[in-house]
Amino acid sequence: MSLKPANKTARQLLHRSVGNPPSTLPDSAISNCFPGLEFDFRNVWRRIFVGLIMHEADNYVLKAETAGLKHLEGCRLLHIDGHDATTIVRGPRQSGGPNVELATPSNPDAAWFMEWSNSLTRVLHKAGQKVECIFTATPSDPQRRPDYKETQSQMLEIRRFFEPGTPVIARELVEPGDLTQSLCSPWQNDYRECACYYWASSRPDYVNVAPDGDGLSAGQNWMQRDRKPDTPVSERTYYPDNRTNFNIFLSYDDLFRQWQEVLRFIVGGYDRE
Amino acid sequence: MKRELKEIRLLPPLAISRLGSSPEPLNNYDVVVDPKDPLGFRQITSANAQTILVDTSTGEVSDICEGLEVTFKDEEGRVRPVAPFIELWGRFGDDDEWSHLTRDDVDLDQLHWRARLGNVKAFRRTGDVKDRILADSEWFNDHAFREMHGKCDNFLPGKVLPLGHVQFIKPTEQFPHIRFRYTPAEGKVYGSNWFVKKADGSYQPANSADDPTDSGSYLQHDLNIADVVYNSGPDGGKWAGYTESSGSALTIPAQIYAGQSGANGWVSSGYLDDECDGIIEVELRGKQKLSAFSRIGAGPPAYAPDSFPIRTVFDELEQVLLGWQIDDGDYTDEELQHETEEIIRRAFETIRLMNTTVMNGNQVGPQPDIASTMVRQDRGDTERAFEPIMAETIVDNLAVRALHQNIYASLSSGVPPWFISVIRKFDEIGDLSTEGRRKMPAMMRNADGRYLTLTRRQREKIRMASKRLTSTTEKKR
Repeated sequence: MSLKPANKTARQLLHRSVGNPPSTLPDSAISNCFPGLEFDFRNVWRRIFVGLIMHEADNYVLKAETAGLKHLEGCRLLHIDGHDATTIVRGPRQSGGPNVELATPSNPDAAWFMEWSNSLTRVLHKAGQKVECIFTATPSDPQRRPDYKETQSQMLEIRRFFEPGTPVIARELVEPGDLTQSLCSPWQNDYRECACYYWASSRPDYVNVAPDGDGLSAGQNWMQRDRKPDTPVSERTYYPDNRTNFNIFLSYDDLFRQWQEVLRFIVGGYDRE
Repeated sequence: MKRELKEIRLLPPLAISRLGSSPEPLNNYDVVVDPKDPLGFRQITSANAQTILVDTSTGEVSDICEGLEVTFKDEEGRVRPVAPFIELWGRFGDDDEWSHLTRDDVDLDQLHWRARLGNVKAFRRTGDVKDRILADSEWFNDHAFREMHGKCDNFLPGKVLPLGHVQFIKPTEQFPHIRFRYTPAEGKVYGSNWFVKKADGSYQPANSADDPTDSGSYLQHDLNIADVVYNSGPDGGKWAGYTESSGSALTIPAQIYAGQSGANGWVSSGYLDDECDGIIEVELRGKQKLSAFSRIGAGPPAYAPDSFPIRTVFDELEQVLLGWQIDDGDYTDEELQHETEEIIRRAFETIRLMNTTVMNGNQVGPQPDIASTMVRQDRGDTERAFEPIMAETIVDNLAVRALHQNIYASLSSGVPPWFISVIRKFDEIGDLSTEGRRKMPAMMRNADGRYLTLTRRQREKIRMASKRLTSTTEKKR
C-alpha cells in the first residue's frame, strides 16, 4: 500500500529531528485544553472564519475585523453549514431522579457549546469557500440551544488551516503568542489550581502507587510536600488536595519561587529523584 | 555548482520546548514499549538516541553522542530545558524525496533566519495592545547564541522579558547538516512591583501576617519575582490590579492568573511568565529565492516523560489534515490495530497517574466533595446532582488499571473492540445521565468543559479496527 500525499504530510508532523527528545513532539502535548499546558490549542480556531475573531473556547464572537460583520459582535454561533454548534445538557437534579434539561439562572436554555475541534472537522474541507453560519440575532451572554428561534444568517469563508501543501499551521490563522495567550499567567499558578481530571499524564496526581494489604492502591499526591518513594506501603497516604493546607501541599509561593526544586519527575510511577 | 532546489521546509512543523534553568539541555532519549509488557511503563533509554552537543560560543556541533545519561535535573536541582533542533529539509524536484540539507546543498551566506515569539497572556485579558510582549530576532545569518528579548510598550524603560535563545547551528565538515536551535527561557516569574500589594491596591506591611502588632512601617517584599519589568505606574499598563469576575469574552476558565480575591472579582498580581510561542522563518536568498517557516512553543516540562496524554495536539492536527473519516486504504490492518492499541495505552497511562477513587467523587475521609473533580464541575456548571460517576466500589486505581489491561489484552488478541459503544461521541457531551457520565474516557475534562471525548478520528480508528476484526472473525467461522 502506498501512502497518499496527505498521509505523507501527516507523518511530517511527527518528524523527530536528530537530537530532539520525544517531549518535543506534538503527541506529547495535551489537547483537551481547559486551558492546556504547552498550548491552549483552542486558539487555532479563533480566526477560522475570515473577518471574525471567535472566542477560543466558545461560540461567542469576540470581534469583527471588517465593518460588514460588526453586527455579529457578541452574538453566538449556533449552526455551521447545517451542523449544530451547541447541544443540550441533561441529567438528574437529584440522585436517582429523572434526567431533565439542566437549565440554570446563568444558562436558562441548558445549552452547551461543543468544542471547536470536533465540530469544525465537518466543514474544514471547505476551506476557501463560504458556508452558511447561523448566529443569534442579537448579542447574547447566555448560551443558546440549537433550535433557538431568534437568529440571523451570515455566509462566512472558512480559512485554510495549513500552509498549502505543508503541515504547518497557516500564518494568518495564528500569530506569535496566540497559542499560549489564554494559559494561566504564570503557568506555575495553574499547577497549583488544576486537578488531575485535566491532564494526569503530564501533570501527575497519584504517584508511588502500590497494592496495600487489602488489594487496594496506596500512593501519594504529587503535590504533597514530604513524600518518599520508599515509604512503606502501609504508611502511604493520599491527601485530597483542598488547595488550602499548605503544610501538606506545595503552596503557590513554592511554585513561583522554586518550582524546579519542588516538582519532581515521575518515572515508572515513582519519584525519580 | 549546487543543484537547484525546488522547495525547502523546516521540520518539525511544530516543536515543543520545555522550560528549565540548567545551562545543560536535556539529553536525548527514546521511550520504548516492551513487547513483553505492552502496558508496563515505557522504558526511557538513550542507547540509540543521538544527543547533539553544541558549543554555543561558536555555534558549532562539538559532538553527536549516543547513550548519554538522561537526568531531568542537574546536580543543583535545576531542570534541564528541552531545546529542540529545527532542521532544514529540501527537495530538488517534484518527485524527489525530501532530504535533510547540508552545507553542500545550500550557499550558507544566502541562508537567513528570523524568530518571532510572543507572550500575550496579559493582552488576552486586558485587551490593551501595549500589553503584547513580542520578541523579534530580525533577519540574521550568523551563528551567535542570540537572546530573544520580549519587548512591550508597557514595560519599564530598558526592561525586557527573556524568552530564550536562538542559534543557527554552524554546519561544519564533520557535521554538515543545516539546523537551527531554540533554547527556551528559565521558567522565571516576573512582576510589576517589588512589594506585595493587597487586592485594594494598598501595600502589604511586612510581617503583618506573623505579627499583628507590627507597625506596618515596612513593606513586604515580593519574593516570588525575578525582576520587575512591567510598568504599573500612572503612565503604565493595567495588568497589575486587572480584575475579572465573569463574562462571555473572558478566558475559559476565567480568572486564571496569579492574584487574590477583591471586592469586584479576582485581582491580578501583575505576574508574567516566560512561556511563549511563535515562528521560525528561513529564507534562501540570492539567485534562488525559497522560504519556509515552522512553529515553536515553550511550555512546562513533561513531568511523567514515560507517559503520554490520551488526546494530543498531534491528534488534532492529524484530524484537520486527514479528516475525521478513515478510508479503507488509509491503514493496513496491522497499522490500525497498532493505532488503536496506542490509544488504549495512552488512556491507561493517564488513569495510572490519577487517584480514580477521588476523581470518581467518592467520599474520602469525613468530608464529601473534598477535591476538584468532574463531579464538582457537573454540579457547579449545571446544578446536576452531586454523586459519584461510577459505582464507588469499583474505582480503585488498581481495578481501573485492570479494566484497561483487559481491554488491551482482548484487542491485541484479535477480539473486536466491544467498547466502541461506550466511547463518548463528540456530540454526547451534554449527556450527564448516569450512563452518559460513565462513558469513556471517564472522569476527565474536555476542551469544552464537559467530559472528555476523543477526536472523531481517534474514535473512528477504534470503530474501523472493530469492523475489520469482526470481519476477520466471521471469515474464520
